[in-house]
Amino acid sequence: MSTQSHHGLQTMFRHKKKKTSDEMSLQITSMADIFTIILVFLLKTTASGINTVAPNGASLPVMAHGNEIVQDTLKMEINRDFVTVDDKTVLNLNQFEIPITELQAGGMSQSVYQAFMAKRSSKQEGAANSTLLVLADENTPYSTLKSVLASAANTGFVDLQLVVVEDN
Amino acid sequence: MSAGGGGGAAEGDVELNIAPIVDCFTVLIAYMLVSMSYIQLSIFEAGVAASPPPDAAPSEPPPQDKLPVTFNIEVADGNRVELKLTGGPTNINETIPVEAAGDGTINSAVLNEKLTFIKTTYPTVTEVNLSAAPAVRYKSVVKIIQAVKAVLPKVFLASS
Repeated sequence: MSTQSHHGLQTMFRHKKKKTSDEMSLQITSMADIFTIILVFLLKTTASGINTVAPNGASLPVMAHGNEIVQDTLKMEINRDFVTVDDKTVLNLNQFEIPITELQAGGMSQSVYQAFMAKRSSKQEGAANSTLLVLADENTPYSTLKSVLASAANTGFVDLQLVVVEDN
Repeated sequence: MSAGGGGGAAEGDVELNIAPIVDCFTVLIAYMLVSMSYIQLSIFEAGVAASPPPDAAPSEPPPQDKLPVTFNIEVADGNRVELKLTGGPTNINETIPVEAAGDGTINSAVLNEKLTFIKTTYPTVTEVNLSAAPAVRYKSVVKIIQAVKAVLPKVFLASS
């Protein structure tokens, strides 16, 4: 390298301290870049991925394969102790059983019906949306499922997406 | 160290100390990796069989030669399945039983076989109404839906 170009580099990176041979420095700039990329990727995956529909306690049935979850829509979960609509508990169950006082004509559950009505009237779930993501525990009896589905159907949520765990 | 590397800064030079940032990133990435869900979820699409409103005017029945074949699946206690076909131009009334497997679960192999037979025998059938006894578990219902979805595009769950 010529003296002139060496002088130019010195001007560009002026006043840089020269390291002595016993001074070790880890180059962490590139590591920070890699970490930033990994972090952004993980944040994107977490925000838009499967975690948004993960059940809060229900043990989902394990099946060979199904379709991909294509849209983020209203979520309902049934487990041993409660029914939730959009992660909000709307009805307490007794070992999967709906209390008799809850049941209305047509087998509907009053509380679940009201929760769906509230969602239907809100801006979030407009009249056009009829899709419901169902996360039910694999041991849920059909009687409970039927009551909840009747409540959903009477508020216009008739297109069900039954969520299962893929058997790998 | 080369000119491009970080080194001590002289007066007037500001150098960002990225070591704490890297520390934060390491902790965040470790936390996110641990808290991530590794299970793969998928869905089965189904409809709810809605009954017509009570004030709805009765629709005119189609001519005899165009009567559709109605396909119902009923699951009894003990996971015994009955495939019921009714109607059609010849006014069929056929019930195909599928006994539970030895371990008391839905007999998927036999069910698949019967469903394929129905699909080939009655190609006009495109949907099925599924109902179950009150004590039948959701796992069994989904298992039947999975089997049906392999041959028929639409499944409706009875809600009343």
